[in-house]
This record gives sequence, C-alpha cells and structure tokens, in this order.
Amino acid sequence: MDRLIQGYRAFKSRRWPEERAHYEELAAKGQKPDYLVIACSDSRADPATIFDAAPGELFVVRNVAGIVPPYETDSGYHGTSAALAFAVVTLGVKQILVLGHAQCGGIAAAIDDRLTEGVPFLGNWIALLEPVRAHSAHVHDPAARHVAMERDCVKLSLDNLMSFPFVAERVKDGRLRLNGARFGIADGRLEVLDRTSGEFIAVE
Amino acid sequence: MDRLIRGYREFRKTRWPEERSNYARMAKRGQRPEYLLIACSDSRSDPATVFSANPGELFVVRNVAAVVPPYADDTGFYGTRAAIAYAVMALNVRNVVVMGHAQCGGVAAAMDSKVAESIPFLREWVSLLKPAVESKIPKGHHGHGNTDAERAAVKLSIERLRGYPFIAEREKTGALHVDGLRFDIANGILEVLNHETGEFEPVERPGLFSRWFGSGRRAATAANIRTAAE
Repeated sequence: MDRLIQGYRAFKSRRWPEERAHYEELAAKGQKPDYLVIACSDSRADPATIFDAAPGELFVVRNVAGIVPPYETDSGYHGTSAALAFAVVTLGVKQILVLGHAQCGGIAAAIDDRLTEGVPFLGNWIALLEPVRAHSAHVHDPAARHVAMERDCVKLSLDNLMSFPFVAERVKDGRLRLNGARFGIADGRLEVLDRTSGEFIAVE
Repeated sequence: MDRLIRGYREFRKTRWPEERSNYARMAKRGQRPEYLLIACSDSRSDPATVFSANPGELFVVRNVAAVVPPYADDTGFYGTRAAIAYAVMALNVRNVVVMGHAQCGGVAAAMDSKVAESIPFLREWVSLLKPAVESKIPKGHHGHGNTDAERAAVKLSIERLRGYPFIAEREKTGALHVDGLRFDIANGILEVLNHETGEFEPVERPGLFSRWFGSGRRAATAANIRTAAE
C-alpha cells in the first residue's frame, strides 16, 4: 500500500488544494458527468490521464478490453450493463465514449486461446469478441490483425450499445451521442472513429 | 467529443513529453502493474487522480459500487471476475485494493430499493451488496447509515476476493496483499481498512512529523523524502 499512500499524499498536497471547492460542490450537489467512458482495465490506457479530466467529468467503466455486452434480459449480474443504465438513465450523461487501445491483452486472448487457459472467467468474457475474431480471420499479418481487432472491438461495443432500448431511444432523439476511439500506447496517438466512413482518424 | 479532444491535446502538451519514454517502454515490454484497483465508476472518485498514479501503475476495474461478485456464480457475464483473474494470474499483480467512496449511488440503491426500481440491471447488480447493507438502517441520503454501509461493502468485497482460490493461495504465501479503502469526496480524506480491528482509519495529513519521519508506522524512505522535498 505504500506507493498508494505516497501517491495520495502527493494528491492531497498538490491537486486537492486546487480542486477542494470543486470536490465540496460535487459532494453537496451530487455528480453530473457529461461523459460515460467505457475503457479497458489496462494500466497504460487510463481515461482520466489521456483526457486530462477533472473530478466529476467522467463516469468510467473499466473491464478487460472495454467490452459492452449485448442487451440481455435474463436476471443475471451484469456489471457493465448496470453501470451503463445508471449512467444513462439515472445520471443522464450526454455522451458515451468506447475507448480501445493498442497492445490490448484482451484482444490477444481473443486471437490465441492458449492465453485464456487456466485463467478462470477470462474465456467466458472474451467469448463476447467472437464476431470480432471472425471478422478479421482473413488478415494474415499478426500485427495488422491485432490492430484491426482492437478497432473492430470498439465498433462491436458501439453496436451492442444500440441494442439497449434506453440507449437507442436517446440516440434517436438526440439526447445521447456515441463515439469510439483508440489510444496508441507507443506513440500516444488518439484515433477517433468516423461513424460515416467507419475509419479511425488520428487527432492531429 | 470536444471536451475530450481538448483534454487529449492538453495531455499531449503537458503529460506526454514527461511520460513518453515510459509509454514507449511499456508498449514494448507490456504492462507490469503492481496494483489491481477495484473502484466505483463514480466520476468523483478516480483512482489515477487520488493516487497521483503514473501510466502503467494501476490495473483498474470500475463498476457501480466497486462490487466483487462471489467466485462461484453461474449467472450473468463475467466482466469483473475475468479482470480480477487476468490481473492476478496473467499479470501477477502484488496488491489487490478495493476502493469505496462517500455518497456512493450504488450503495444508496442497495439500501433503498426505490432508487434502482426503474433502472434496468441496477437492482440485480446492487443486490450483490445485500449482506453488507441489510444491517444498516438508512438515515437519509448522506447519513451515517450510508457511511457504514459503504465501509461494509468494501469489507464484503474483500471477503469475497478471499473466496477466489487463486487469491487465497497467493495471500497465504505472501505473494499478494488484499486491502480496502474509502475515499471521502467532501473532505478528501482517505480511510484504510485495518485488518486487525476491522475499522477504517484515516491516513493522516502529511504534517511536519510525517514529512520527515514517514507515517510513524514505518521509517522514512527515500521516496518520502523526495515527495516532501518537491
């Protein structure tokens, strides 16, 4: 815990004095974030860092590969779907961003079954990426396929988002917008999905 | 997207030049985080912010109320459990930390069924917190009932983590530590679960004494002194 405590002390001595009034207001009034960001748990792709976010700006869901599962009406425990519903229906976020990234271990696991062997639950979770795996099966270059799947994973999550009635309804009447992006760890580049062309375009 | 693009440009201008070689190295060698942080999705309790974390330090799971589902459960998807298994077994993190926070909407929903009534999936999800909240009497939204329930929710998640065989095993050999925290949004105080007493204790302010001699529980380290000097 030492590293965390040390980091917390740095926060209290530098960031807290600047943000104190803001935190107090957020505590008194409740949170009202404009954005829901669905991102990977990967330690190299932190949304608050990449978007230089202030406290209160981003409601964040993080799981392996930043996956949004399809809408399911069974009575199971759906962590990501529950967070999505809370953000959209209760908090009324205006935008959802699905953020993928380079060198994603979840994508690697979707390509190579050996990576999920012996790791409980991972195979079940990564099975959600089956359509993504199939879609890039014809790409022979391993690095190119990896990148293609990272981008397709973002698109799959965006498609799955639209299967939630409360999302589709708000997108249709303009209350909610959906976006996709991918962060390149090695070069620090952010590319944003152009929904019309289906291409990812680097932010200049 | 405008706000996010603006924030990204700020990141490129200020943080990226400092961290560039760190990112380049991590892209090549892969990530090696020491911590798995399980935190709430709440916009006011961001772990990277509260811990001044550098890229690569924290593998982070965020869901409503930082819930850890029981190991043995066949219903629903496997998002949180898959991330825990990946962090511990594939990445070999040394610490698993559950971080709750004040004014948690998820805990409030677990305590008052009306809150989640019309929100799909939420009622089922926060029902996982039932054992933590059922003994706590709600005393209004920000009452002591909620504070106690927020702490009990962290303890419940820790208890459940210890029910994951691969965590229990590593904790026994000392290869892994499990810890609990609660962040208070209004006053910025971080409380740490004391495993012996079961109580949450605030991390003291970095006053004069602790600045030079560490926290009192441990000796000053080079890192402490560096932080103090900055």
